[in-house]
Amino acid sequence: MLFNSFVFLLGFLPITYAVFWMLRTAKSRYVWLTITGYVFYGYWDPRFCLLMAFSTVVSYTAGVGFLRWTDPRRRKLLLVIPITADLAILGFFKYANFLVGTFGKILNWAGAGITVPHWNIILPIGISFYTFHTITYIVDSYRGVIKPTRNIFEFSAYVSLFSQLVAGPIVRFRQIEEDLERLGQADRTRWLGLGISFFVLGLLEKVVVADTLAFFVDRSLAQYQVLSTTSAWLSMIGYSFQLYFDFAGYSDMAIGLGYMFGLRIPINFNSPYKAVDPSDFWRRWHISLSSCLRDYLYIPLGGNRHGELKAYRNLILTMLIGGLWHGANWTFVIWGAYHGVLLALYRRFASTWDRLPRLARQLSMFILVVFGWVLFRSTDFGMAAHLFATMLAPTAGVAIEGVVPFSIALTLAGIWAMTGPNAQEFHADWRPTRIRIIGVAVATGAALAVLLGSGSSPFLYFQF
Amino acid sequence: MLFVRRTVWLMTLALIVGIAAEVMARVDDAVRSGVPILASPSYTDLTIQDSLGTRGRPFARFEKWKLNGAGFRSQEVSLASPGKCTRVAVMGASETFGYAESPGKEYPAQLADSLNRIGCYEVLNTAVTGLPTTGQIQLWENWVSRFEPNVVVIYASPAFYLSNDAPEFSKLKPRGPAPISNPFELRLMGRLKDRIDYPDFLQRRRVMKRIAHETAGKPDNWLFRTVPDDRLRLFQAHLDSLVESIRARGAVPVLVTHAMRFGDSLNEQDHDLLRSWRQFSPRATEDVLIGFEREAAATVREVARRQNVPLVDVASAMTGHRQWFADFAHFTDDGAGIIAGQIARVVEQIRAPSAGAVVSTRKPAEKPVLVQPAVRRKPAAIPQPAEVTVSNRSDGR
Repeated sequence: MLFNSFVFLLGFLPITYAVFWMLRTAKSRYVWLTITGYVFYGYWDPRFCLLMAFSTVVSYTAGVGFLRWTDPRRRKLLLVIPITADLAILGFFKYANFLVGTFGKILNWAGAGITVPHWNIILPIGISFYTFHTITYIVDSYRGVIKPTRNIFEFSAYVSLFSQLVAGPIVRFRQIEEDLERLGQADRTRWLGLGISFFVLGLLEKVVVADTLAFFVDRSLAQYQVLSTTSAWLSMIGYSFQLYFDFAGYSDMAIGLGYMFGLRIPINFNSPYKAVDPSDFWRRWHISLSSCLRDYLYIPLGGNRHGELKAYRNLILTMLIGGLWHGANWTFVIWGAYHGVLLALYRRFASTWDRLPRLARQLSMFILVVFGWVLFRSTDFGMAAHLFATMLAPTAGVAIEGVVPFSIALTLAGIWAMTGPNAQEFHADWRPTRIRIIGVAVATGAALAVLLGSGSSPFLYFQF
Repeated sequence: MLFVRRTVWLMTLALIVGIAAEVMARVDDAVRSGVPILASPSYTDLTIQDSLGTRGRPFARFEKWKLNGAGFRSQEVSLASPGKCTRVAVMGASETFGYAESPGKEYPAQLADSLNRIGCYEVLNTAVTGLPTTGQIQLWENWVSRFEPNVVVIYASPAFYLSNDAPEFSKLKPRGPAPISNPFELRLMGRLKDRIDYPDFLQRRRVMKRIAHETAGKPDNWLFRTVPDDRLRLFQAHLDSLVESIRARGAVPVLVTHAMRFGDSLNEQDHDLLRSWRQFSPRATEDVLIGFEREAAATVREVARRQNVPLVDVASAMTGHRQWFADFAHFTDDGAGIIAGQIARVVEQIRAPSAGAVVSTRKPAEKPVLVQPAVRRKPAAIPQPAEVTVSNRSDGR
């Protein structure tokens, strides 16, 4: 089920909301959130609800085990076994074909002439996200950062919370633990206006901005082989803004839904295209993922504690794994490694880079990010190489169809993304004033009109 | 008092939502389809009747449909022959024009993609929604022939010959701008209508009610209870005329049998779709509709054999394959790909060894015979009416 679909907006959300606030106790609300989470998830394919249930039970059991046992060996087992189980499920569904295919290619390259099988495995939607939720819960429990819950309904409500279930943000248990504990006393009206405003702004970002850009970008990149240099640049810049408004829109909708149900979900995007260096970019882009990568991968690898060379290695390795998390394709791995190298280079040359004027740093960083998106968007290295070649060497080719409206849309999106307020800033001192309510009404009308015209399109991050 | 103020406030907000939605719908149409913000056109405005006959309205825009300056659903085209490339005109009604397919997936577009992989071709989708073979003849003689195509693919819809009155040649209207059908229409309402899917039982009732309304009070012999031979003969005669007219102007006609969704056994959805189809020809019973289609396919084969015209027997290849049809006769993207592939294979065979010319198939010949282009009319400039656009309502074929 998509946030931007009519079945969600007119059916699922009103029913879920109404019943949730009719219930009075925390326990009944946990149960309701669990049920609705599974309905939301099962709407796509009910079979995979079992996977989520399995992951939930395993992680919950581990949490209870941490409460019971203090023996380090047992605690280590409680850490390793459930994480291995979670990663095994993720690995099978997401990476099995990738690994086997890569192995086959290596064998063929070595002259073995073996045909490896391609299994018909369906990637369960959102598996990367809820696996991350459960793993962070287990690790935080092991480290003693959180006190694991004994209430299975509370935990299952956390894992299956529909607002952040399939495409994030990756909300750590500790980040909403307090709100979950107080769910029984939550005040319906306290954050309702704020929630609606966040949700509508996110809907506007996704439906009006991202989908309009996608209309031109997708058609243009479908014929990437014949694009001119200008068209390739416009397409990739368009894709950069499309991806941002698509995912930031989803995150803002998730945050808004959280507020509507009395849960504060942390910010996931902080105007990433205002970033002035690679490190700054990753503090602003998909914050919930980058902070998880930092806390659960980079720091355990040693971080910057063992000298510069190891810090570079750790940066590149962390980002490389982060790239792989995005998808089972070498283009994602190289995209991750590319950002790892950027981070390492910045670490080495930060003093020089920081002396440049701010505008130059921001624009340079944006161009570097656009290059990264070429890898991210390409289905294979052939496409990426072709796009890089077209962008870097003057090439004659076809223009983007509808280049004038596309350019206008691109300019407006660019101004918003690079200089305008993000959702968090927009809501910094939010009060339900008349002008704001009218603004929400206008945004609602605009989003509904586009939804009625083109229908709901899936979010780009659903595939990860 | 508080209640009244709240009600007024809520109504004001609802009005703001509505106005914003209407404005956004217009901006969205302008950005995505090039429809001017203040225009209020409709689906039927994609066609015009003028001194050239019934044809596509030049530069018309309506949702996914975009016509070029000649009123064709193709890229811009000049009257001059495309040099060394082979120009292929595809004639037909809504199945050819493209109805249910995604933009660029209608079969003439896919045909262009297929042919351009093997050589230099220019494919013109000259189809006009709702145009019977009589209209195709007029369109060919007055308009399409001016573009000097080398090959003309004919995908004629037989069902028009089951309408209340047999298709006739329409009187050509004097040249002049045709009016747009809707002076003003809320785009938001159009979008809403397109989104509403009636439940099956309700849709069934609506269709049956319409058919009952059409057939009420008619004498018993008004209804076609068997396949009407006279209509079939008329279809054949018109097809013959079209083929001869195309040949007279030096192009190679290619006949394509008409395919439909309905095979030997029908399921419940088939029956619903068959009834929907019948709305357009209420004189024919559902059995007659299917029977006429089959006989018409045989007629096309017969015309092709007798006139020695290359034939693409799509009816044999596609009829009964539900997955290739979005409704009774309009194709899905995949279905359009199948018919495009079938036609491409035949067109490829008749491509001339030398530039621009095509192989005649008038007489059976071991060796390809190059047809000298017939005497053609002096090329005329394409009339360029003021740009008109159409927007948001789809209704029927």
